[in-house]
Amino acid sequence: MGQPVPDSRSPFALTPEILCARYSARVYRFAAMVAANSHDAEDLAQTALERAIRALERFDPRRGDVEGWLWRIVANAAGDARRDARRRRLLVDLLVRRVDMLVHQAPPETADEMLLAAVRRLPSRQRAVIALRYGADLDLRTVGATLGVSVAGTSMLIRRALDRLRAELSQQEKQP
Amino acid sequence: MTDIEARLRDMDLRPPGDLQARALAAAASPLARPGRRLLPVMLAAILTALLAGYAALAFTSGPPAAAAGASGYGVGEGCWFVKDANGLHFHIGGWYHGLPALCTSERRDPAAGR
Repeated sequence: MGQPVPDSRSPFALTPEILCARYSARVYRFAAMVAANSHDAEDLAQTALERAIRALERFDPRRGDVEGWLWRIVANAAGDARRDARRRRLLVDLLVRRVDMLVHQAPPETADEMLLAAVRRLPSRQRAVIALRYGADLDLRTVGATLGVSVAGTSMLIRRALDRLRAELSQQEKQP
Repeated sequence: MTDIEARLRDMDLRPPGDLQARALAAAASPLARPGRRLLPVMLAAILTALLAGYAALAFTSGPPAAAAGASGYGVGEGCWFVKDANGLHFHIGGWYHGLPALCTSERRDPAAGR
């Protein structure tokens, strides 16, 4: 996998092992929020880390920091995974009509599971900003740069997503 | 920070223990090029197209039964496929206009001594 890459954030060179150790937890949190289920989240996190490791040789700290570079790769991997999932779903729908006959998913029980399910039902753009902001724990500027949106636009997207989540969760709490 | 933001930050989402090892192993393995996966499919498609083209040409431009005269075309005289009342048969044959010939009739002359 070549020579270690200098990291502007620390005096230590960035190797695949350091990249994984430093970012895998946050990459997984992001993946868990944008993916349809935990199985897809694991696949996405692995794919995103794999792509980042493969691209490590091409990373140039003079063109930007690791965070911006890494999360663009992760967000692109998520976009590709979403398109693949849509194609698979279309194919399965075509063949068996009802996907839930094949894939039984247990209904959410805990507060965290209900919240995660609500995040996963958000429109893809809102889901991405929520996952980058609260899953990957990025600041507004980096979230916006990753998605190609201004800081003000990012802030508005997050506010709308949070409003939607609040409304959905309060509706669920009212139901018996 | 609002209540929902705190809940999102505190969600218990731990990665599987072997995620790092899996990612490192996957990155260390050679990348499967999409082109390589497509190659057999493309070859099969080309072969199918060639066969379909041949079949179309053979059926449309092969020697018609009427042109064969009273005796028809004989096995071994340019017919790889012979279609008669019993169906389509395969024979080692010859060429017709540069293509393996498909004959639509078969010589019935017993004097041919097949």
